[in-house]
Amino acid sequence: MSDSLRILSTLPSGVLESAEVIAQLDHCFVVGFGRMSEREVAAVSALPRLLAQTPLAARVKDACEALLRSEFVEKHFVSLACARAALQGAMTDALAVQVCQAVGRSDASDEPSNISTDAPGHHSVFRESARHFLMEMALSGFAQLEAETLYPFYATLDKIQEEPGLIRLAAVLSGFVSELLAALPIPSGKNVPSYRWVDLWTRSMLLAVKAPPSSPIKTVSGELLPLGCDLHHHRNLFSVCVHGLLRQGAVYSYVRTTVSAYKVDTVIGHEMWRLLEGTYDKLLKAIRDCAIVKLSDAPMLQSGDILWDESRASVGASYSPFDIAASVLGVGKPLPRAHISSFDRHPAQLAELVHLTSYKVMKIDSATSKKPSAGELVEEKALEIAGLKLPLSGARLSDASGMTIDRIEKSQELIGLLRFDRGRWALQPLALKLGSKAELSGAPPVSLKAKDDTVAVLRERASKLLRKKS
Amino acid sequence: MAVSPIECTSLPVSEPLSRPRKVKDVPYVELFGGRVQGVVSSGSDENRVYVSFFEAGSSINFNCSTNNNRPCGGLRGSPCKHLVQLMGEAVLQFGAEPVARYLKLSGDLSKFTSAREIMLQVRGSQARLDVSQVFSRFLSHLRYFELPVSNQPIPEMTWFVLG
Repeated sequence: MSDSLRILSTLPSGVLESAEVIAQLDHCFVVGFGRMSEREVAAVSALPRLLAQTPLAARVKDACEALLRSEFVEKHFVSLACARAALQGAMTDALAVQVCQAVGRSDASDEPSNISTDAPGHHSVFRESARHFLMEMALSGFAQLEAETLYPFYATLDKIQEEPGLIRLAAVLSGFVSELLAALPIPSGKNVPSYRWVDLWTRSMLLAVKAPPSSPIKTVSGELLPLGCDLHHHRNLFSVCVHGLLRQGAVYSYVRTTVSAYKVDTVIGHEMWRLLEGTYDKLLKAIRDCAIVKLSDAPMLQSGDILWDESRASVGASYSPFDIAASVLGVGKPLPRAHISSFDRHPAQLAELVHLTSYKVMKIDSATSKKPSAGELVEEKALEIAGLKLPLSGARLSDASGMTIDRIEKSQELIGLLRFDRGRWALQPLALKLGSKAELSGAPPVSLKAKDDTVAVLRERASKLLRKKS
Repeated sequence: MAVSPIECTSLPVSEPLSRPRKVKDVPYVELFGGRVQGVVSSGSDENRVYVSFFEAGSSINFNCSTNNNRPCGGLRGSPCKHLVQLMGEAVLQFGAEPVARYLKLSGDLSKFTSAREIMLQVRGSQARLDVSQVFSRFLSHLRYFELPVSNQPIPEMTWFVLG
């Protein structure tokens, strides 16, 4: 197995060069497009050449020339977002091919053409407001941003959050703006996480152009076998992405389902699960008990995302993922799974399921924080599998995930996702085999302490005070 | 320490963890508009809340009143117990040094490690300011609990594992 995994230690050609161009462009976002000096001018001038052979060529050329003439028009910033996303998309395609070869699987199935939906009129007003906001941010530059310029946008953001059809835009903008506010003002000379912030800027801008292409919904019946969860959260949203296998007869395919709830900054750690209790109890039970869920006509998108509907699910007996891991997720075994949608193509979205055995955990780095988090302690280590060093992705682990380095070190086998970040492949553990038990990452705790129920206290206040208001 | 472009990360850099705090006592605290401000539950009447703040500046002024602008009886030229509670929870939520920085305290800010140490620097007087804006920010904060849940895939959340 490790022989084919070894190819992961070399970057596909073009990836490094794209990263360099993106880094130079990102620097313009720190300085501000309204205040470009020689270095930034050079970065903008270099961009059109890279996209000259693509359908974006003319748009990007116009945009860069206009920005260099200080013609600050919203559509040029949209073009920048498209250019950056296209470069990352190409990187993603190359990396996706590489990881398929590494695990000995054929490429994920291509996404069929999508249907475009009409969005309600007021959505386009909100989107326009968001694009304008993002343009102003790019003009001013992260280093010069002031909280006072960000606060007024909440008037629009609050309205975006109320629209279920705009959940993706709401999620990314809420997280991005709250993160910026917590970091401002940037002390002069301090490094800004520019790659991450321009990622968030780009994703926000793309979602603010129009609704992303949507996939027709089909219904599926079969058994969902959970493998572990990604716990995603920022100050205002908690989102649980359950990774699993859908078993239909003898065929297993990789699927996901995501449930999310808004929150406030005082709802942290295990308390976040309270936001989903009462609405998604069957799903929570399935993850907690590592149990098979029988699905009857559950709606599913072509991306392999099941739209969770409690009424279509019934939770069955617990099972062990490791009973089937080798035969389903072993190298060379076919695994039907959907390709990342073209709109979403970004290296951060790559996630290839693998089953690994016979590894040792070794240290490759040292955390720099005074009190390293559980994730940072995982990030220090790598799996050694017959000569190959595969770093562990601790940076993707929420502190609430329960996945710690000592559990990983004690495990005999694991199921995980191959992820790409910081220019290298890394392994994010989803499920560990310890003795005869399987431990799933990101499972809700068996019980939550009744006292200190932040969610209940604030919900009660909300119902008293917000009712009174109206 | 220069990082080569390929080593740039999409993921958040770890930040000091917010500690769980007593929202029953202090349902809301924020650093906003040059003030450490928030809403504190009345110790005696469960239906009453106080709106309190500390103002950044050379001597740190403060105030505490009900939402109807009736001043808190405990304020007699120095911070009342509600203000002390507010500071305590602010430090739990944001950290002592960030609160000290926000209040523009002078000197080496890393030496502030507790709410008590910050309170010793509060030497201003009562500043009568309209608190209704703080209360409506609290209501905006609470509305997050009224927003609907979602079963849609949100690929953008891949970027968020903190907070």
